[in-house]
Amino acid sequence: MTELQVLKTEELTISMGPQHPSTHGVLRLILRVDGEYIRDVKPDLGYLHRGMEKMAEERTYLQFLPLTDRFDYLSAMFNNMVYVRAVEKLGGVEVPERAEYIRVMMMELNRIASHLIFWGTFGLDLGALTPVLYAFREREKVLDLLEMVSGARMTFNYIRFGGVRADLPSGFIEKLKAFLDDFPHRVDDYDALLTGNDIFKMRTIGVGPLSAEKAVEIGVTGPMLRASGVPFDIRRAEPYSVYERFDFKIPTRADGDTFDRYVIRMEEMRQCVRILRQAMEQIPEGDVQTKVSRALKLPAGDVYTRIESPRGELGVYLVSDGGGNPYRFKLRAPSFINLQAIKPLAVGMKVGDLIAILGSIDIVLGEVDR
Amino acid sequence: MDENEKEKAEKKPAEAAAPVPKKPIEDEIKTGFGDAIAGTRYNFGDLEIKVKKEEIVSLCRFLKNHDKIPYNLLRNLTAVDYKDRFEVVYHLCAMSTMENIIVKADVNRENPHIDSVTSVWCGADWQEREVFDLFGIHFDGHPDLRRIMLTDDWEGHPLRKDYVKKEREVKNASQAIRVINAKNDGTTGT
Repeated sequence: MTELQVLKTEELTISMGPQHPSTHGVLRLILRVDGEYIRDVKPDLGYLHRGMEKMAEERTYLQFLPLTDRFDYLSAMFNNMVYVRAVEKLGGVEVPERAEYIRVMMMELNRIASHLIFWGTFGLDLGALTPVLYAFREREKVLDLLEMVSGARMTFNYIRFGGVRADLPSGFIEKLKAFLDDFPHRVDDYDALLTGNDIFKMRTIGVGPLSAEKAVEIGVTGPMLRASGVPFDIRRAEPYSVYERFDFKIPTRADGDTFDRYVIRMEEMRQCVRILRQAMEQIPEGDVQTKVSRALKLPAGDVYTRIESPRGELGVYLVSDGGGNPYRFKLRAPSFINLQAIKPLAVGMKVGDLIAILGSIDIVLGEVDR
Repeated sequence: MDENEKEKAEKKPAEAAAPVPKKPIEDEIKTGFGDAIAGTRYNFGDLEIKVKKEEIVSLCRFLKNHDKIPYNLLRNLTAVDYKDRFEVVYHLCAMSTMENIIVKADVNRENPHIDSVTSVWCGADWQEREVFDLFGIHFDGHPDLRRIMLTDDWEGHPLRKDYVKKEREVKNASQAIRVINAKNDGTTGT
């Protein structure tokens, strides 16, 4: 007994990642643990840093467009959109109404695909191996739709300056309709499969709570901020494109814990369906592209545009010196800012909870490291 | 908000040149900070303030704790290299009214230092580290100022306009393999 009492204990520093299935890419977390409890988390970034902001300065505006797909590769439409919007705003390019509707439809479909990946991999992180199969089944249908329109499944390069690359192909609306009729039932299935599961609830409820004040101070946006009770969604707060014409809810939760962050994304998928249905009904006939010169030159000046991506406020700060290349391009990546919350969320929790917390932040390393 | 204004401007081009209605906060800042404000203008409907870098923290704190419209969200923090100077840019937003303010501060290139705003928004932490990493601008008072994207032994700051990239010309895949092999066994690879 006395021997047990004098057993020496010490804090241990361990490295989680950069190769680790639950870091969702090449992220390294340097943990200081006391037994099972986390005392400190230091994220080590940059493994996927490709210097994209520097690359932008060496390319023309049009040449850089396909590269924007590679930031957040799970929601490439949003990256296209935010960059194109910055260029259009600075250059005063007008966009046909039909193109704006197509953009919104593509973005909302992409949001569903992105949230499905979250749902599937979040289940995997917590040891539920089945959800990912269901998630990928439905995601496949979304990707088929996106491929039908853009020709690509992940790196779309579809939203162009002054519109979109091509009009919707024939048969698309019917296929989309069939998907939208089916998908809400599938989300109900997901809830039945995972959300109500007792083990799942024990692993997530009360784990890693984030207060609204803290969230705003860090600059957290997107589903994470709304889970903490702040109804901040740029689609509603500063409507862009044609979002002000649609009726949809901004789901919020009160506790800001891992479970709330999960539920918000489930509810958002349902809201995506609502937006898509309305867009499908309202979409006008007409052109989908204004002519924009390939050797586009923008007037000197700077602009900051932002849109609501599946992860939060996606912004582009674009500076032009009047030439044909961006003078400075900066991507305000929501994952990068949101990941800062990992330390206040995880300290004091157990190592196993860290996996749940990190999963609920929903990062994409392509966007964090740029 | 600026989106609506842009739409209006597109419909009535005659009004586009008309000045944007002045925001009350502009006069408040001008009287409160006096000489520290180097200039103000409106950028796509958002107020833009150029401030002397010594006053950056006090201005940010004033805006964040404003009693009527607190500019509580730091949306974006970055820098631009204008060859003769650096400019650090802060995009702030008042979440209650969705009003945006852009704050800019010049930093000289020879000795680039500016005070850190991490004491105002803890979320500025990584954004300042990124600017330090890629531009070499030092943020005084930052709790943990070290490189974030690049390795610790990286030389230079890539987003500076005078940064010279070190690159080896690689024409095709087989040459690329030779280059990699050469690196491994220490020969020149040609």
